Amino acid sequence: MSRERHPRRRGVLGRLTARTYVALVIFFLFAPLLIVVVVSFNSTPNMNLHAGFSLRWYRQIAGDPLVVAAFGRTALAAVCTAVISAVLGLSGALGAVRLAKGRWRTAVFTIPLIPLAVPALLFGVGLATFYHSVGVGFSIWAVIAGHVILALPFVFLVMGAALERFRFSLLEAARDLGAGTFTIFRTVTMPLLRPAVLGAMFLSMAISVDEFVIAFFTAGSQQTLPLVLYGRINLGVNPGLNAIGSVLLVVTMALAFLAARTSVLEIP
Amino acid sequence: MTDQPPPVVQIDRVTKYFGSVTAVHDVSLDIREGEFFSLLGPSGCGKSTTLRMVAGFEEPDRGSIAILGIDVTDKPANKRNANMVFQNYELFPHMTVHENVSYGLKIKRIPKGEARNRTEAMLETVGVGGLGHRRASQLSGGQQQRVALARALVNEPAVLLLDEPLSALDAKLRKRMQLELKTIQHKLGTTFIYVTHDQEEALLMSDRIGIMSNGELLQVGSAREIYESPGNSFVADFVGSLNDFRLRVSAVEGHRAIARLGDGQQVAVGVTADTEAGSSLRVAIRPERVRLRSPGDDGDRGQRSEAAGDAAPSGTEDCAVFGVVGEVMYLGPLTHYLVDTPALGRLVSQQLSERQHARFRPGDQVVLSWEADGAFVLSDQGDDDGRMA
Repeated sequence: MSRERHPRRRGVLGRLTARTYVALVIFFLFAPLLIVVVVSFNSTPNMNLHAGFSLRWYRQIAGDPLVVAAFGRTALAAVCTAVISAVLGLSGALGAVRLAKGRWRTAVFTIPLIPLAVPALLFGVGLATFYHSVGVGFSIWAVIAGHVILALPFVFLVMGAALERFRFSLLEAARDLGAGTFTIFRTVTMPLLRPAVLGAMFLSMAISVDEFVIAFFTAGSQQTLPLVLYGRINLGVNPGLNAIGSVLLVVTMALAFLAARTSVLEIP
Repeated sequence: MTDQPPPVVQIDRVTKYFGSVTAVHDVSLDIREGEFFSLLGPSGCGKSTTLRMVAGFEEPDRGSIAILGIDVTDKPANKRNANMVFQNYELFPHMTVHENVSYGLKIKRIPKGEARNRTEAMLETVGVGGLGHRRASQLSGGQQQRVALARALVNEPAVLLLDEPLSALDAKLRKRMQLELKTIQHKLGTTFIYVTHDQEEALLMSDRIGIMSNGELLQVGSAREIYESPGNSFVADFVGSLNDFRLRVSAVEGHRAIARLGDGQQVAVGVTADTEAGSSLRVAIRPERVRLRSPGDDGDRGQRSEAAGDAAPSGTEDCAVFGVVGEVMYLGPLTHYLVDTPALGRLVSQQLSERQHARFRPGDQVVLSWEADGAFVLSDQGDDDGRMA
């Protein structure tokens, strides 16, 4: 009996600690976010928590051409980043899985992940200097190029994991049944990898939407939403900023949620 | 023999290297129309590589392959009139059974209605009619096997290639599928090339068998030829168990060499003309050919009685040696007697199990006998291959 009671008491303590830990994480992670959202619905220009409810700040930003333009650019950057990095990441991972034999395996799977280890600030400065020296102007396209490089390692990781489990012999079966290379890709490869590709695309969009550093250095006058938010903070705080922040928050969280969903639902 | 149909598949002096390893060495083989041909050999012998070269998944380094008289050596797999049943079936997991089976027809742009009819008929033929709407992952191993078969056969290929298709099934299901495969093949008249490492499976199903070892095709023949007149010791050993021993020839009478072993014991075996008295031979006899009797018995009760009236081995029996039963192994329908003979070492005799109890017990004195034409001489050539594999 005593032998049973001992681990059980420790179990209670352990569970309590774990629950406290989770509660603290959730509180400190979500409380500030929650306040941002709550304040964005304030009916007054104050930043306090007990003002009345209104949508005036949302109406205000929706009527602000600068914010609307920035929102459009952010969406453009997100979509372009997702598409470009998915195409590059998928073909890269497909190639890597097939080429990775023996001692090159580590190199093939590590080199694409290097951007993860580079400080974004350094990369932003470097990219800006590079664009300047080769005579490419700062624009949303410059930002997209940077975002693609940021997103690629994640896409590569997601695709690599999916391809690890991919049965390449299925492609042989399709070829045996008469399918050419393109038909095989369309009817077998793509349908089987679709969840991973979609997951990787949502992830890239989430990365692009709230990316600040690279956009800061390379956007020039074509500002994205995070840059507008940053610029407005310097001009003084009001719930309109919270409304912009809330939009960003909802979009990124929705994308991250979609990314997780599609990856989880992958065909085994 | 002259009006035989042309071969469906002609493999002509094909060699394949993987790096420095010779996977297939100078293999030539004609597969006839409508036959069930098995490539049999241990793993790594080159049988699967040979099959994959016929399918178009591997390119031969030398030699050529023709299907229906057309050289396909340089054609990719999707341009060949051959379909494959893979070891792990490789059904498309994102498609239903019906979509899987009609995949090839869709690519060939067969009209929808016809494709549907052919698919359903084929699913019926292989015994999974009514499962068309299921996903591959919802099927049992045996059902997946049948769908894989249907997916290949529905294209009406000139030759169906099967790469150890039953190896993933449990023993009982495998036995049933062996018979069904044979039945389906018979019904459709399709030429089958079947790769397996299971000799029993090959003997049971095949019209002809090709035995491979270390990339070489050692012998091609009917199941009976392969089993009863193996070309060398590797083939003999691989297609069944074997007693083998060395003999010094006492006399040669026509095409028969006789070794006298004293006390009236003797062994005879058919030989080629160039064997001389005094030479040494390696002789093999299959365990089921070796009969047992008590030294006092007059021949074998209920089996053969040609040695009637003679207690000891004598000249009237082709082959007879003394021994003492060492072990008795009961295997259900069969019993193996391991008998120690002073003349030839340990020999195994395989008998149908007696109803009540073992006819002989360990320690019993016995006479082992067999007919000379049941035994064969093992060529020493190819022996090293056999031992390595």
